[in-house]
Amino acid sequence: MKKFILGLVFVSVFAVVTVAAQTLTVWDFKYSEVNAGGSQAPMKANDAAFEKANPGVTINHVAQPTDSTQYYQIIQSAATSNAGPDVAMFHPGGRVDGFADILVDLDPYIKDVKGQFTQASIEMCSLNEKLGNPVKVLPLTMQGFGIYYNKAYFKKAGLDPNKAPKTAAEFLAACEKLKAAGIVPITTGQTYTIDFFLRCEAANTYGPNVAGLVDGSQRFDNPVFKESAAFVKTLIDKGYIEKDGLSRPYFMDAIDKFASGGGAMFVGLLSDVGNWKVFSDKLGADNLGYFPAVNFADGTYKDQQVMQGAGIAYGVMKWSKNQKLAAAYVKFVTTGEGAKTYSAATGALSPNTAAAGGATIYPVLKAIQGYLKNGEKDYIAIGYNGYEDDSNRLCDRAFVIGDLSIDDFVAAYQKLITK
Amino acid sequence: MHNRRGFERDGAAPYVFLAPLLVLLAAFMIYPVVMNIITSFTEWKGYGPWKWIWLANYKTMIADEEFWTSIKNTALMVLYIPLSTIVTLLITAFLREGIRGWKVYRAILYIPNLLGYVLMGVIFSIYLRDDGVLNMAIKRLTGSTIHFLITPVLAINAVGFLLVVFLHLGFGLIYFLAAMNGIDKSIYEAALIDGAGFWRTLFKVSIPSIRFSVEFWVVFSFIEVFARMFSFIHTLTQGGPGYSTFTLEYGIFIQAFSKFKVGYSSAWSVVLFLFCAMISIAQIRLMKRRDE
Repeated sequence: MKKFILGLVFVSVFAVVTVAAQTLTVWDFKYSEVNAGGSQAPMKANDAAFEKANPGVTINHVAQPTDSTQYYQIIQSAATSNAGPDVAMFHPGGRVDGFADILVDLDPYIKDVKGQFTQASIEMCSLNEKLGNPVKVLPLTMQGFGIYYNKAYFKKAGLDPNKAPKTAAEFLAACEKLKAAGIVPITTGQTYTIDFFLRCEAANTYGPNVAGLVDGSQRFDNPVFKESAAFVKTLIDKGYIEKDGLSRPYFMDAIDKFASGGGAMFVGLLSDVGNWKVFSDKLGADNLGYFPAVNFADGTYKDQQVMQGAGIAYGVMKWSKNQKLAAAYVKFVTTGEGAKTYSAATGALSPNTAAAGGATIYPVLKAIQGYLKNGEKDYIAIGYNGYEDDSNRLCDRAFVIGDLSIDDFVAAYQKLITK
Repeated sequence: MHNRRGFERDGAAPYVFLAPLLVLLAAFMIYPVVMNIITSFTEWKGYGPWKWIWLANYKTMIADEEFWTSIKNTALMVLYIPLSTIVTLLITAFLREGIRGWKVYRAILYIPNLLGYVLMGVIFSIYLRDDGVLNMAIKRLTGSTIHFLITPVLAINAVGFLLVVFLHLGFGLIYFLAAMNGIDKSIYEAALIDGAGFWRTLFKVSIPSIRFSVEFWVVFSFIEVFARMFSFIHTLTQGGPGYSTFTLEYGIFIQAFSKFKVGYSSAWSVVLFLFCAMISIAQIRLMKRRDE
């Protein structure tokens, strides 16, 4: 009997230890950012906080390639073998739809926090970007693009640093003055400067109807969008978009160049990298201006901010043996102190309304938050997998190579999105 | 005696020794090829269920502008093979003449082979950029820049020249030097006595004597162009600008791992397989002829 009781105690202790000692593996394409303002430090802090809140749990956070193609190739390999991380980072939208059948529906786990997120972010994180469909990932950031400018250079060129050149005429005049003053008007990187600019202009052209580009109710041969495409060609032909930049990687060479004073204007991001915080910290918080798009005279909409309700997000993999714990981790880092820690350290904008900070020391953030009230969708993020790669090649062909007329370019865009 | 069956004649030993190799061949060559052909008849993301669509991928491929662009670009690369062969042979001939410091030159020219395609792709992407080292020098000398990586005709020719000619040069030198050193020295002495100069010796003695090596080199270059350019293109141009350096091999990667159309990508791979099979048949025939 004594032996039996001892054996029972031993088995029970072993079982408790086994259950308590759990490891969650997290795959992440941002974890390799070890620079100041990079993602790794706040992620490590959040992992430590989660481990503290959940004794016996260890987070094995694995840095995966930052290149999207390589990263999703690794996810694809994991899916093929039906084994891999418990939690993985994704770009919401088409990417998540492509992997929907290996992602756990998060709805049962997020009932208490779902209301904290903006409707746009939940929509973007739901299957096929439709509210009411299962939520597949939970967003860490929201994303968007816009035009940052260096006020000191504007002043040096005789421009009003507090007046953003928002109309096409004002923009061209500003570029000419900057060029005359020996300042690079638009710091450029291949091919995202043009790609992001056109995504800004798509939101500004189609306004609340921009998603119609995907369902076919809107077309790219809209005269205002064509005008914005022709406008890019003009910027290249006149040398306002620096030709040197057309073979320079956008990530991170062009971003670093603008941040170090290598030009007057830059089509940048709102979150992650190349954002308002990075540029404010490098160029001076009061020295950075921002506007969301160039307005054309015939456009119905003005100052529309292109916006992805969610920029990067975490999902729980179906093969995970610890789905409940994995969902708890996702919730932990995207809400409350977890979300605040990440946003404060990186400058990422959180779509979690309970976590969004004021950051009053950054005037440009106030401007961005104002424009976000007129936020419109980024049509590319709701397109199919690989669309961004295709559209970047078309940008190359149209403007860098110059072998597509504006009509051919918009026709190719239309063909691509129809496909 | 000759009519006896192999197993009866040789016993089990050769087959036992060959078995591991045959298993590896079946696992890593035959199985993937068969699976690729089967996959080309399906719609598949690389995981999850397959959907049989039979010839639909091939029909899409034939109508796909990207596919024909990739074929055109690959064909353009092939045009660099004669130049590569001539340049490599000429430099080898100069080195064989025993010019001063030839071992140093040979070592220098072999360095790119040691570094590999990925590293060389990154190095040249930095060198050839508009704000890269080479253009900084050109700008200082001429006041303007050459847009190597953003002008399509320059980009495809830069890839062709660097990969097919420059990066193969080191290996070619070693290969042709070894072949030329195998030529009987008395033939060269006879040519010298007959008053043959450098060019005549090259075309009448050296090249005819290493004909099989040259033919093998050409076959090797074809395989390199069709099936080994990916890493260099990925690190140098990523198939751009636009589709100007988008080759068949690169297209297979994009379809499978950027767009997750693994079934469609397999159809492209079947075409690449057919090209490589034709090259391999040529290579086998060449080796047979040499044996004879």
